[in-house]
Amino acid sequence: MTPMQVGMLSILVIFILLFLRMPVAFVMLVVGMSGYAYLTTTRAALSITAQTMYNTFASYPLIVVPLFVWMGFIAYYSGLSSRIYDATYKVMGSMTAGLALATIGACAAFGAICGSTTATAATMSAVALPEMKKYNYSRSLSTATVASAAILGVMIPPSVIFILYGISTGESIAKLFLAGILPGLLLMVLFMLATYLIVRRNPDLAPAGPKVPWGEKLRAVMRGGVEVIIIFVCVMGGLFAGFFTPTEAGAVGAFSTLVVALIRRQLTWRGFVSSLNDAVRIAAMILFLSGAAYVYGRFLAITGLPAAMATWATEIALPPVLILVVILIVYLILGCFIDALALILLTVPIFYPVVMALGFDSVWFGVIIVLALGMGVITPPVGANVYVVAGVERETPVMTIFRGIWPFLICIFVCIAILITFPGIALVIPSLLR
Amino acid sequence: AKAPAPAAPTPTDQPKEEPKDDRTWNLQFATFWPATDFQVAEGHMGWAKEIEKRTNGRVTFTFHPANALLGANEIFTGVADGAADLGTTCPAYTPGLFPVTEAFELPGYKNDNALVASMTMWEAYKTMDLLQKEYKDVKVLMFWATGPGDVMTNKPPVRKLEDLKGLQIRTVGGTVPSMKALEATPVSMPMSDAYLALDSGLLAGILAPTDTLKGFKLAEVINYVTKTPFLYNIVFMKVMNWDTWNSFPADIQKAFTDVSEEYVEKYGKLRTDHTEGGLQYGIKEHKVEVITLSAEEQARWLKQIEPVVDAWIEKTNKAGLPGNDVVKKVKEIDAKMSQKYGSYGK
Amino acid sequence: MGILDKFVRMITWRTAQIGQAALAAVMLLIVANIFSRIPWKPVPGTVELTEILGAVLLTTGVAYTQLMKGHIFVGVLVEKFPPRLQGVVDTIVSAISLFFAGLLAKETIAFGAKMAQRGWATADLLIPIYPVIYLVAFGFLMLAVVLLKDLIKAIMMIIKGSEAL
Ligand code: NA
Ligand code: NA
Repeated sequence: MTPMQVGMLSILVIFILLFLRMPVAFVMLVVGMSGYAYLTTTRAALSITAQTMYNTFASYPLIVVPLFVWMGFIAYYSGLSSRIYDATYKVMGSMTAGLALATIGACAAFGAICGSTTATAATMSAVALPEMKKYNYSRSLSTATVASAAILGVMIPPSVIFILYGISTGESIAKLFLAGILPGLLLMVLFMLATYLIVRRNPDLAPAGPKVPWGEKLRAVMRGGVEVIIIFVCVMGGLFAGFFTPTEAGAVGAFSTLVVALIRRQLTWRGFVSSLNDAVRIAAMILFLSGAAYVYGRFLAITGLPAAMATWATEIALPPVLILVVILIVYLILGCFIDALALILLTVPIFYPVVMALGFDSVWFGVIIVLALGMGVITPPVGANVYVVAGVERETPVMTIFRGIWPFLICIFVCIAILITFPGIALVIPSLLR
Repeated sequence: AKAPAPAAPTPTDQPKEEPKDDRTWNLQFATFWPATDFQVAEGHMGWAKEIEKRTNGRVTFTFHPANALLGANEIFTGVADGAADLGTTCPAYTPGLFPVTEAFELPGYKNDNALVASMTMWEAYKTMDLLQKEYKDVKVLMFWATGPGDVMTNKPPVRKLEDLKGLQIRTVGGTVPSMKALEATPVSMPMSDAYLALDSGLLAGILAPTDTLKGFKLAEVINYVTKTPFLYNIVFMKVMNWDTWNSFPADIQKAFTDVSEEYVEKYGKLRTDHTEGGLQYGIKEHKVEVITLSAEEQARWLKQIEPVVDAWIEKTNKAGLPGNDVVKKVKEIDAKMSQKYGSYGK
Repeated sequence: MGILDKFVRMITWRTAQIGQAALAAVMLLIVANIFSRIPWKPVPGTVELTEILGAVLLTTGVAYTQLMKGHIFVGVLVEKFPPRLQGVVDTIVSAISLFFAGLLAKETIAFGAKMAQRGWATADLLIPIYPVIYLVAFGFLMLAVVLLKDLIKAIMMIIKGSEAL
């Protein structure tokens, strides 16, 4: 077998093992290690796996994941998230899909302090899902909403993907951050619109709440809102004042939520231990999966399969926009199997020169890539965000979430189409810089 | 890469000839630099093309830049175990693994530019048993090094020693003791965080060679470059898996040896050019101000960092290695190479 | 089976508690670093200590997560199988997982031994890294123990033809 054929066979094996109920992380690990051993040596495969797993666990940038997840669970166990959602429910609950719309907005706001989609997905799952369940929102709708809206975490700065893109292409990171803002908001609006339309067609998915008098609305906001504002000011204010980095914001978020909960005497010792317990469990799930996905990604890299697909996409004789479409399709396919961060490292060096030669703007292409990677984190079989949400909301099977994904996937397509037609949406803010 | 076994020689009555070896190799090359960085785009690609040419295309390379195959601190062990066929990384990324190599990253050498540092390290490797011992797990193809690093700040400007006091400067690895000795506050963080930390004011500055102004976009968040060539440089290695190396016939091994030998100087010159190029980019595109220290001021800095070298020697002696001899030897080679190559690019 | 089950539960839970402590510690460390450096200077070695604590908290959590069936899987197909067939599938899957988790633990120990011999340490505080690698290996070993328990359970399911144990 040629290495390329081994790569393709590995995809088949992944499907088989997944459907035999093997945990996804083990599937990636088993296939990645075996494939690496087949193409090189057993010694090499063992060595790269042990190193990759150790370094994923001992990674400073990835520490935001457990910290933000913990923050989410502190908010949950202290009743903070319940008060926020009580307020939201009173204010927006009588609207069609009110809580789901609010959750999408909250993901965007959280995206402004968090640079990673997985951390956004995990935190928002801990905060939002139990509450939406309480108000009888459909599981499929609520879980898919959180998994998809978490993409806003990397569209709205800060964003690890923009940083990686900037460094691997030489493009200005500041410009990329600014370029992400409007498309991020556009995507947010599209997500909201899609959710609204779905629920309009099938109101049972998100039962509307009763109309609440203004006085009661105000009281609910006072009860739930003040704490949120304090935490938000601590984290955002400190970030923009330059007191700490986005990586450190996870610790500040957990700390300030804990302090607020303790001052208001809302967190019991039992709740505190439970929050730690859940955070460790979810973080271990996410990072064990990431490590295994890296091992598989590294095996795929030596098969040459991603590079071959990328090269193929750029060599067909088509008008520039169609080549771009082909590139996006390649991302959609590869994104089904490869982790977003690994994918950007594997593909950008190949696509970037071609896209530049076709005359597209490099900042604009960065935004398009982030959207394309956004598709990858919610598509089966390897959709990191969906797994993260399933890890927190354990009663909802992975397949149920994947089934709820498609409207959001269409939103991403639409967003990309709008950006291709009106590149100015991405470029207007960065053009104001200097 | 498993090379296909050579075709079995067919039995014949003809006078015995060496069986023609027509094996080919595609080698997996791991590196931490991004593909667009000059070190890959010009340096590694140029080296690889030359090897491909001299082996008549029998050896080709697949590049895995930007940590895609192995992370910066995984490359040495990964290559030794065969996870990649060859790779390039810094010894400094795995502190403790290369105690003698650390001597090259100490402050206080003459160290005019990257070319001098590269030639010094390569010459030392070829002549010092102690160094060769550190790399026995792999086949060393070549060494080279960065040019001297400079203190680059967002604000305030550093014009004299006192200006540096208490400033939070991103510093990693072997340069931490020097920055401590200068009474700056070293902050270690990944390069991916440095841009934002400088932008937000969390960091006052960074100690790095000036090619990062362009390569890592730091010129956008740096306003002043204080020339401090005596502070440090960083060594790089290009190493190969022993099994891969041993699978080659003599003529291919010779191609690797010859080309790598030539490229020590080429990489040194390339880095020297880009250190200058990055600085010029910063000056022209982002109005970075360059601050040059007077001779007296430099002497004050040098005096301040003297204990760093002594402390290193003491630590190394304790570990049972002749720290004193190593520093003396490096100083000798550095002086020789500075004389020979120090004027390059000036 | 009952005793084995309880024992595995007890040791993985104890191990996970180390991880919980590490998570609280890493938060306090980063916050202390921020509060310390604004008026004065940073806590030395924060980044490297964070990395070590991160490794501790994740590796001690992996086995516990498996115990709680927290590693995500796709159950749609196998759930429809009769119990005995489910037992067969789970036996195969657990056996493969156990084999690879065992390999990973063994190789991580070897990696730790090599780094102990070479003296890999952190850059600033010069903390030796091999004990951390050994701890990560221990985490994988615990994972293998939980998987062994899962394997025994799956085999019991084939024998008894039901999930009840
Ligand atoms: Na963000
Ligand atoms: Na996917």
